[in-house]
Amino acid sequence: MDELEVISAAQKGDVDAFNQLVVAYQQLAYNVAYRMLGDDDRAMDATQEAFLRGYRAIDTFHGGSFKAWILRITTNACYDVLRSTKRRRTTPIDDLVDDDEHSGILEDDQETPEQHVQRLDLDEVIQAALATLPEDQRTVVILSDIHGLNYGEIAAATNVSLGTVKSRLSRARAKMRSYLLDHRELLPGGLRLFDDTIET
Amino acid sequence: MQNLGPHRGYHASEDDLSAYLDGELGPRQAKRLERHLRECGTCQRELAELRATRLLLRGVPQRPVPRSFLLPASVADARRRQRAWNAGFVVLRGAAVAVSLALVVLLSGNALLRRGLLPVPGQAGQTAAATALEEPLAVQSQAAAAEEIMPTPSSAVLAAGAQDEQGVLARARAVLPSATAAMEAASLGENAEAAQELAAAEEPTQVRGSPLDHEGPLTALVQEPRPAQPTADGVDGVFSAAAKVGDSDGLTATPNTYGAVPETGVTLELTPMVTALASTPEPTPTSTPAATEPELDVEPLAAEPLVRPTAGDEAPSGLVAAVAPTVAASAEAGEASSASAQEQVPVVPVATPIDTWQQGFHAATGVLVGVLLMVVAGLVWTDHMRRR
Repeated sequence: MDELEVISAAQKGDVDAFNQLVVAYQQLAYNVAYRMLGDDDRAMDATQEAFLRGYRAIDTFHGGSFKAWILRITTNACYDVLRSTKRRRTTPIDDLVDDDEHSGILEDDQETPEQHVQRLDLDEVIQAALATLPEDQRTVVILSDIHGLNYGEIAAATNVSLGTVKSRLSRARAKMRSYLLDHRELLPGGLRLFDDTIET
Repeated sequence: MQNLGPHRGYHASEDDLSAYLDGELGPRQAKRLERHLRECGTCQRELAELRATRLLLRGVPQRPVPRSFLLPASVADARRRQRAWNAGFVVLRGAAVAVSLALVVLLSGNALLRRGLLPVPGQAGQTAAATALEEPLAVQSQAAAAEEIMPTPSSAVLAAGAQDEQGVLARARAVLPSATAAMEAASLGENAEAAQELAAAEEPTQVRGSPLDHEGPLTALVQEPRPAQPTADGVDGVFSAAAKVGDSDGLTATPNTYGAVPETGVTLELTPMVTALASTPEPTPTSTPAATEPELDVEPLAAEPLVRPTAGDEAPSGLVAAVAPTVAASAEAGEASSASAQEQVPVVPVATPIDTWQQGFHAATGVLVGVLLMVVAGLVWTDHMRRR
C-alpha cells in the first residue's frame, strides 16, 4: 500500500492507516521538534500533539508532500509550545540544553568513548547556536541543513514563499556561522574544519 | 546580487552565496557568481564558512524517538464527535448569520418606514377608507361655514326659532357677523359641531338665567310669540335680548350695536321677554359696572352677560370696542366646546398601519434578538466542545 492509499484510508477514519504514517514520520517530526524546542519532554508533547492534529485534519490534505504537510503541523505545534512556555517559564532555552546530561542521541556500537563525547559536544553547541536564532529562521535552517529539505518543501512546510525561504536561510546561516566561529574551541575538530574549509 | 563582475570592491550577497551553496541559484547567476568568486577572496572565504557551517549542521546526529507516537483507537470516536460538533458549529454559524441579516433588514426597514422612505403595507387602502368616512363631516362643516359667512336676518330668525342647541349658536353668529367670521377664522368649521356640544353643555346656565320657565329663553321665545311692541329704547332691548343670547351661548359679548340695525324685527320680538326678565329680581351675587348702567332696562340680567370687565365698563357706548373681547371669548368658547366634545364623544381608537407595523416590529425584534442570543451561546458551546 503506497502512501496515497494510506492517506486515503486515514481520511476515511482508519486509525491504523494513519498510524502507518506516524511510524514513517515520527522520527523526523520528533527531531524537528527537539531542535525547535531544545527540550526532550516538550518535543514529545509537541510531536504527539502534531500527529493528533494531523489525524483530525487529515481531511484537509489535498495532495502534495505529506512530509511537508506533517512538518507544517509539527512546527505550528512547536510555536504553540514556545508561546505557552514564554508565558510560564523564565529559564532560557540555553540552560535547558546545558542541563541535558542524558542525551538520547543514537549510540553507535562502534563509536569510541572519545567520539561519543565529541558528538555530545557538537550536539550541545549546535543546539545552543540554534537557540540564538529567531523562530522562523531556526525552523528554516533545521529543515534545510539538518534534515535536508529543499526550498520548495521548506516553503510548503512553513507556508512562505521561496524568496522568503532563501532570505531566512541566508540570515540563519550567517548567524550560525558567527556563533560557531566565536565558539570554535567547543567544536570537536570544528576549528580544524573551519580552517580546512577556508584553506581549500 | 551586487556587482559580480570583476572585483571592484563589491561582493556577493549572503542570499546568493547561500542559494549557490544549495544549488538554488539560476544558471546565469551561478556563472556570474563563479566568475566573481575567482577574483574575490572575501567572497570565497565567506562561502567557505557557510559551507563549513552547513556541514556541521548536516553532521548533527538524529535522536531516536523516546517513545511511540501511535494514536490509540479511541481517537476515532473522538474524531466522530468532533465532526458532529463541527457540523453543529457550521449550522449554528449559518443560523447566526441568517438571524443577524434578518435583524439588520428589520431595523433598516423600520428606520426607512419612520423616515417615510418606504410605504407602510396596507396604508393605501385604509387611507382611502378614512377619506371616505371624513367626507360627510367635511360637507357638514362646509354647510355650516356657508351659513355663517352669509348671515341674513331671516336665517337668524329661523335659527333663533329652532329648538335645538345648534340654533342658538347659529343665531348668535348671525347677530354678530364679524364676530362669527372671526370665530370662523379661529376655529373654522370644526366649531360647528363643537358649538353644538357646548350649547348642550351650558343648557343649565340658560335655565338659571331665565325667569320665564325652565325651557330656556329662546325656546320660550318661539313657543310664546308675542306681538311686536315697539319700545322707545329698542336698542336697549336688542342689547338685552342679544346679551341674553350671548350669555346663554357663552358668547358673552356678542350683544352690541351690530345687532341693533339689521335685526330690528328680532328686537321687537325679544323686547317683551327682556321686559319680563327685567321685571324679575335677579339674585345676581356679583355686581359689575355694566349692571349700574342707567340706560338699560335689563340691568339685573345684563349684569350676567356683561360681566367681563373690559367691555362692561364702556357699555353701551363702548359696545363696539367690546367686539375684540367678543372674538377672544368666541375663540375660548370654541376651544372649550372642542374640549367638551372630546370629553363627551367616545373616541374609538383605530389602529393605523404604522401602529400595527410598530407592534409587529417590536415583537419581531424581540424574537430575533432572543434567537440570536441563543445561537451565539450555542456557537460558543459548540466551539468549545469541538476544540476539546
